[in-house]
Amino acid sequence: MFKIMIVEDDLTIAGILKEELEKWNYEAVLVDDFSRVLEEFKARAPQLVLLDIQLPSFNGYYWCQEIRKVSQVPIIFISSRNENMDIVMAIQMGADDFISKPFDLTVAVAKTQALLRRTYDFKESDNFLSFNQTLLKPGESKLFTGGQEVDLTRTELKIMELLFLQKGDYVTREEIMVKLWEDESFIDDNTLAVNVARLRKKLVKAGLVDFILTKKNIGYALNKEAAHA
Amino acid sequence: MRKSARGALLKSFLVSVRPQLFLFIGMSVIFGVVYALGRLPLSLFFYSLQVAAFLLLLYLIVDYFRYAKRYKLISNLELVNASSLEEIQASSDSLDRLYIEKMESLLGQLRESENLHAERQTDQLDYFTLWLHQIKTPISAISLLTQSSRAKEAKQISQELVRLEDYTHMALNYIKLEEPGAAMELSLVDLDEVVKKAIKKYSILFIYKGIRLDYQPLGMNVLSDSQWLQNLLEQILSNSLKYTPEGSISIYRDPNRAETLIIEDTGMGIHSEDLPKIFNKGYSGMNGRLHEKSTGLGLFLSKKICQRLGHRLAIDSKPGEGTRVAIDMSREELQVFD
Repeated sequence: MFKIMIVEDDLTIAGILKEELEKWNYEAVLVDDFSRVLEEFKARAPQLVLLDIQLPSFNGYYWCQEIRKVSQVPIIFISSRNENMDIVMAIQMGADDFISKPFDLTVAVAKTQALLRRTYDFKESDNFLSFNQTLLKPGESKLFTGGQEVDLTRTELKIMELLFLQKGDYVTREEIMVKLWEDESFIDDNTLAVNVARLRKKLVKAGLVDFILTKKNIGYALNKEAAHA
Repeated sequence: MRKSARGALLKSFLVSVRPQLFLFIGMSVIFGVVYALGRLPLSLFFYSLQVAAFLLLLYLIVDYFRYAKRYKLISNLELVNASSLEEIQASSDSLDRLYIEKMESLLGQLRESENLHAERQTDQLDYFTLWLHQIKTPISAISLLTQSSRAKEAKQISQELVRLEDYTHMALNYIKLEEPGAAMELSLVDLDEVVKKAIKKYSILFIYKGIRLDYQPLGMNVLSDSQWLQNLLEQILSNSLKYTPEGSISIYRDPNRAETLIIEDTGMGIHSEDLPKIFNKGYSGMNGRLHEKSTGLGLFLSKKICQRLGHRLAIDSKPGEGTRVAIDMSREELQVFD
């Protein structure tokens, strides 16, 4: 499991990031003492660092340089300073990517995954979500159930990802659409319904009946009792 | 020196020597009367009058040149250039020198207050920029909370958050545009990339309000500054979303004109009597007054950004039917990219 260190002094943001990363099966550690970031880094030895620029005592640029003196670990800056100059500065200090506040959780996770993949050359298949006996592997755009494989389109994959992350809780149609728009597929309500219908059909074909539940005027959820036909 | 300037100089010179002329005439009359009453030969009087008049003329000529020189120096005087003050000082009488001394001290005061003002403005700008960055942290914290919240209110909160972020951006843009040094970095920009970013920013408003988006990739490259162009598009989209309660927003390239982007909504439109004034600062028009959301700043900023970028912004609208915004990004003078 990859260990990710979150250096962010706003506890709400740090907490939510940690929660989200843990949903994706990463181990997330927070820094408590912002005057000893480097020591914490050495002690925890994470595989990736999420670093805020504005921190108490020294700023993120400083810590980035300090970490670079001892390690080539991938570093992503998360900051409200999103001027071009700030980004250039961050990259010059040795950062690998930049996320500007306010940001979307999916974007943060996607950038983290991409960077981990590039750095550690791990297989896409290592990266998965599971629900009951069903596995979703976003890297391969595939769903595995009862010995069968289901190929998913980009939009279908995104929808499944969101449902898997909620582990059986309902996700509203609007939430799904917001995430899809984030991914640059600007679909409307009708198109979403069409996509879900097609997805259901594919799942039935693979023997998974009623895997996606619909609640009128609310949204969709995964069915815990979905049966293999 | 131009003719009119010379005329003005002559006139002002004559006005300045009026006391001397009156004095000369008065004295001549006194002498004439005394000569006449004393029954002295008037020819003697006329002779002395001639001599005196000749001397007066000489004096006037010399004085005119001196006057002309001073006139020229003073009219060329520039406050920023202290050496021109010294030049005058060298060729002046004590009264002038006193003047100049006073002027120099006033000039010093002016500079001092200018510096103070500039310093204060920089301080304020620095603080405000810092504030904007500070406020973004709680905004992103709330945004993340709503993203992972299942509460009913999360929808409304996230919509309000988009607005909140919008206003902070607008403030930052406003300040940056007021800065004289706000440079535009022109380069060839892929318009689709910028449009997509702007759309994404408002996805929450589109989706939760149920506004349909009509957009196909434009395949357009334009010479612009991508950051500012994005600000501009965001501003226009934000306006469209604000005044479109239902229906759709279309983004497409003008089929009739090159390099012109159209953003069209099916919103409430703008009244024709408001149209000529919508770009004025602080003008909110009928819609703004009805909805109390308008600050009259959005379109003013849009226009200003357009001017800086060298784009042209045109808006036409029919009340009840919608508004059509055209951004013309063509450049006649630059045909480098082909």
